[in-house]
Amino acid sequence: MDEKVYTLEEIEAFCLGRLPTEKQKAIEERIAEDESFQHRVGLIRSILEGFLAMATEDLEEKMNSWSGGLAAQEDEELIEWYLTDELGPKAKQYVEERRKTDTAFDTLFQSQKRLLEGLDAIQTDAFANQLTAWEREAQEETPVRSLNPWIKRLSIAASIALLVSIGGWGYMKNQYSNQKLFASLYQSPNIGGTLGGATIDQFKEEFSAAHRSLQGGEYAVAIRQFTTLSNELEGLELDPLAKTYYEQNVDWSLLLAKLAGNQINDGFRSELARIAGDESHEYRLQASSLQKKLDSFWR
Amino acid sequence: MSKYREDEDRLEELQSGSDLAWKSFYEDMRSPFRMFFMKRASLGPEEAGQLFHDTMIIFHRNVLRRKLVAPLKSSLKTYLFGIGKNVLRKEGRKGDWEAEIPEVSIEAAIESVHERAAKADLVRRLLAKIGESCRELLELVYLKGYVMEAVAKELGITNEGTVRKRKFDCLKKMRLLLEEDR
Repeated sequence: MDEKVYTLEEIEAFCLGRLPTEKQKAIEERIAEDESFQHRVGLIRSILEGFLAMATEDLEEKMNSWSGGLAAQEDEELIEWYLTDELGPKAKQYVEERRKTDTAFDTLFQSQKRLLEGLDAIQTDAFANQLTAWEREAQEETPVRSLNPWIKRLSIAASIALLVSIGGWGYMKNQYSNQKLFASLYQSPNIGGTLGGATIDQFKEEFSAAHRSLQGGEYAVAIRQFTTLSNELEGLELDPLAKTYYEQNVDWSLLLAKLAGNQINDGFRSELARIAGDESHEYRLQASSLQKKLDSFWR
Repeated sequence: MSKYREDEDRLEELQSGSDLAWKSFYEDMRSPFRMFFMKRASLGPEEAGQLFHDTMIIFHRNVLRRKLVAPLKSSLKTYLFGIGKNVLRKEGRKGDWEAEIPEVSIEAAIESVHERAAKADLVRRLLAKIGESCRELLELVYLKGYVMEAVAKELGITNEGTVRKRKFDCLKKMRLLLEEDR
């Protein structure tokens, strides 16, 4: 009798919750008053729930297999989220506790931390360089197409990501060698100007010679020459502006000669730190950039 | 044109029961889901992984039962996160996501693994008795979630109406077998 009123299709739709509210309610009322109908609906429901349970079991089995393949990736993700402050307190605590008990996890943590710091340094440097280039463009009043600064930043980030992914480790290491760093930082000075007098002419000649040595790759000679120039500058009578220019150029050139000549020691580091920390120094930004590169993950 | 065209295309793939589509959806959603609930609901990694599995089960059921259909009112990701939020809420837990994720109606709870196994076993027993042609058809409809058109194509039947009639004949047969079984 019940199936004359409600078809099996309707009962199925009722069990699956697909009927309009009104019809759904009508069947519920019928179930409440007709035990035989209630029994039949119950059987259909058991069958449909059984199928659903089978489908769920099948999905669970697959999910367990899929998640097994993601275990290593999940540890890396967890560490990255920890380092970028994307975790809540409980997950943070989990990472910290696991580092204490799981050596492999701690090693992964350390290497990932270095990698992220390295990438961050590269991005910072690239961005700083780009800012300098934009400033130069603006100063030259070159008619350039105006770009949204964020598009520029994203372009840089994308370039870096591409560089890292396709260029590979060796390439990056090479880019961070002392010689490459020297080549990227050295600029030939403007020698000439309005200085006068025999002593000063001699100084200028020695200054030029030191730069020629540097440009010619004779770093040991250049180091000696710039050291001499640095001493001579103290007793030289120059106008303050010119003196500052030569002092700062000699400081920086001497450091670059030592860099290219692989003479990086504590004295080199402290001189580099001094220049980087001197707000009025012409080469402050370059020194700061070099500091980061020398501490880079890629070296 | 729908705002969620790409998600609707993806839903269609999921509705077709494609393993590849489900695997890809699982892999795409797992990381953002875990990160979100670890940060916003203060879950530990294991809890977040378990919540993701429970949420995927409900999502899968909603797709299979055609509760989730185009046109979509949100992206699939938002819908999935909404289920996760409600599962946690039903467990009496809260997060700082209020008003960020829409409400998604979900079942009161997923049955326990034990209950699920019992329900599945019952149907397996009946399928073993029902005969090959009915078993094949019912599995396509209820396990893979195929629509009538897809079942007809899979079984080489030209008429969808014939498939529908056979489906209900098989379901009736199964009901009678169950009655005998009890």
